Amino acid sequence: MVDITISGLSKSFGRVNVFDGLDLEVKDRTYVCLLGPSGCGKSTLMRIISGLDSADRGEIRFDGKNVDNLTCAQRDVGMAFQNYALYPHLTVEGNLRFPLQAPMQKGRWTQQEMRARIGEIADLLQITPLLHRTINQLSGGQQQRVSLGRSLIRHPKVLLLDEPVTHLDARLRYAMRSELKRIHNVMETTTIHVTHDQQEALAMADLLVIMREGRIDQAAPAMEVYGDPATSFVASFLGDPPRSLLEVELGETSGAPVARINGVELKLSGKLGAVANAAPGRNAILALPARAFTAAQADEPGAVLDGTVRAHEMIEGAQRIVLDVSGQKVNLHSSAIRHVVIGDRLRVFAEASDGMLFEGATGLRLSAN
Amino acid sequence: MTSVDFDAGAEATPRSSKVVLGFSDYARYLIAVVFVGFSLFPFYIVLSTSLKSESDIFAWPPVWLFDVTWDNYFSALFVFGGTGVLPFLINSLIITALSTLLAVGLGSMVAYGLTRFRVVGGSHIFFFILSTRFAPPVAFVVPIFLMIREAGLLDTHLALILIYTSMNLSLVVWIIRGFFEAIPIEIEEAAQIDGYSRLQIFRKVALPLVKPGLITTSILSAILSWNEFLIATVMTQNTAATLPVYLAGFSGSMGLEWGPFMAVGAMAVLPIMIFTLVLQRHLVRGLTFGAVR
Repeated sequence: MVDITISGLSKSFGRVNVFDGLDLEVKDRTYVCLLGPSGCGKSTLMRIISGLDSADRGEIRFDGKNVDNLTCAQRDVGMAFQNYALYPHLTVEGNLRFPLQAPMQKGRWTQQEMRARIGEIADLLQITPLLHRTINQLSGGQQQRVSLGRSLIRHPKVLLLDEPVTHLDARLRYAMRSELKRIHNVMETTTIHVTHDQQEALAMADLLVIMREGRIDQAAPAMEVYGDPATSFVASFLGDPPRSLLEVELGETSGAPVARINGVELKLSGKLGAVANAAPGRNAILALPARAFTAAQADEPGAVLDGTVRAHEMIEGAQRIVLDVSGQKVNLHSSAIRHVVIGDRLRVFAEASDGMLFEGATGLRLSAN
Repeated sequence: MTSVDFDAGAEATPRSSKVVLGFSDYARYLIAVVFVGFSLFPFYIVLSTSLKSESDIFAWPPVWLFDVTWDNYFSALFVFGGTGVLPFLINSLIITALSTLLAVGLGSMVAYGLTRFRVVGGSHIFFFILSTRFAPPVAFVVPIFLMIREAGLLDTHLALILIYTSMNLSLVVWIIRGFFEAIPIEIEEAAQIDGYSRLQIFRKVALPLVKPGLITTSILSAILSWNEFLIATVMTQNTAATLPVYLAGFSGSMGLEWGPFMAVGAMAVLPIMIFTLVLQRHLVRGLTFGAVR
């Protein structure tokens, strides 16, 4: 129930710069997902927002009010930890009651109100039958609910979730996704959810923040990030299988824009052509979705890329192949299954119309103007 | 609602209730029996002698079956030395209880501080704390005696309480440290988020989680304080003398009164045994198990 403004945030551990001058704006009641590979600084960012860690420079504002010098409790944040971090010496009810009994909350709630609140949260999370169990009598999914309940019981202004469903099995993880959204809709708490699972992030986020090496590559609604990535990293990070990045040189052949890769030319048509025309002769990165590639028969003419099979697997009736095309990784996804072994030579067609172009040096998206 | 439940019964496989013992099992039991017998035999002598009459005590060959008499306990408690064993028993109880309480209380705070806060030279401090136990106590007796005398604490409870506390502190710190290190830091961070201060976290989260450690160190500290003789005999004569000092006093110029001596010995074992048995029941292992995945 609060707007969060982060500006110029910097943090380093010793000589390692975690991030340098980070900015982020989160509107009230937004469900934010921080997505990025391990070590990108997403957990550190969340710990700084919570107040468990402090930044070296920059500031964090809740509703325009600087919270840098406030403790976690004064900031009124709730946090669910990756390993749940429940109090093992208390029952489920004891765990839920613990935040309400904090000395700084003394006198804020009567015993009756506490009971009412515990009942309400237990109902919401469907853990009422578990209230009198001890923590080690719970399954992982149940512990996760209790941990979530504990973070919500004070109705905090900001809810921080650090990889809350990572340890659950796939089926439960899927179920918890919609649960989390349902709870968010009821509680209307501004929520920041850290994850490295792109499906989870894409499915849940109102605002998807992609982090890499301490920088925010893109912060936008999930579908926008997916469909319109701002950098080549974002383009290659999302998608299952992820988009392939090819280093190309933009040019022109008899008036038509092309991308040259290993001496082969890919025609760039439509919008992509306009983008290429705006930056002729440039080194660029062409991001292509897996469906843009089709494997060619043995010596079928016209096939453009020549690669070696590095890995292959079957997923839900379709075949995925990872090709090494002179040092560049190409992901192939096809429902036409063919027999391959690692090390095989494979030629593929590439269809560039669904591609995106990024600047070679910076990885930033190229546009027509 | 989704939940994962294990069917505990499904995995149980039928097992024959007959356990077949092999030769090596017998050998192992034999070794165990011999060892236990060897350890407990002195205690048997103490107990049986304390229940024998004087003629039975000195009978040769030893009498295995004898008429039980409580005379030795009576004289130990009420007759022997005029005052009997009671004041010394009380001294021992006071000194053991307070020094154990202090050692475990202070020691757990030290261990917590050193594991949870960044302290300059933290690991060196741990080593330094243990190093106070490297030298044999007899090497310290004279300097400590001088300190205690200058402080005017000779023959006081306080003197022994302070000395025993400092002796047991290192033990407590070392053992409890491992227990604190095993607590996932996130549990305490969760309490921090919930609005608890460091001291409150220590009391309400950390201490309950290291309960097995607290119990273990309490038992060890109590046994060490209860049985300590060397320092007690140097620092105290009368008012604050503990049971071991009193026991040693039996071998006076008048010859040894074996019966009452053994009766006091048997009584000296009892309190610490009860203490250990009671506390041991609360030693729940693996309390933190399942809290964190």
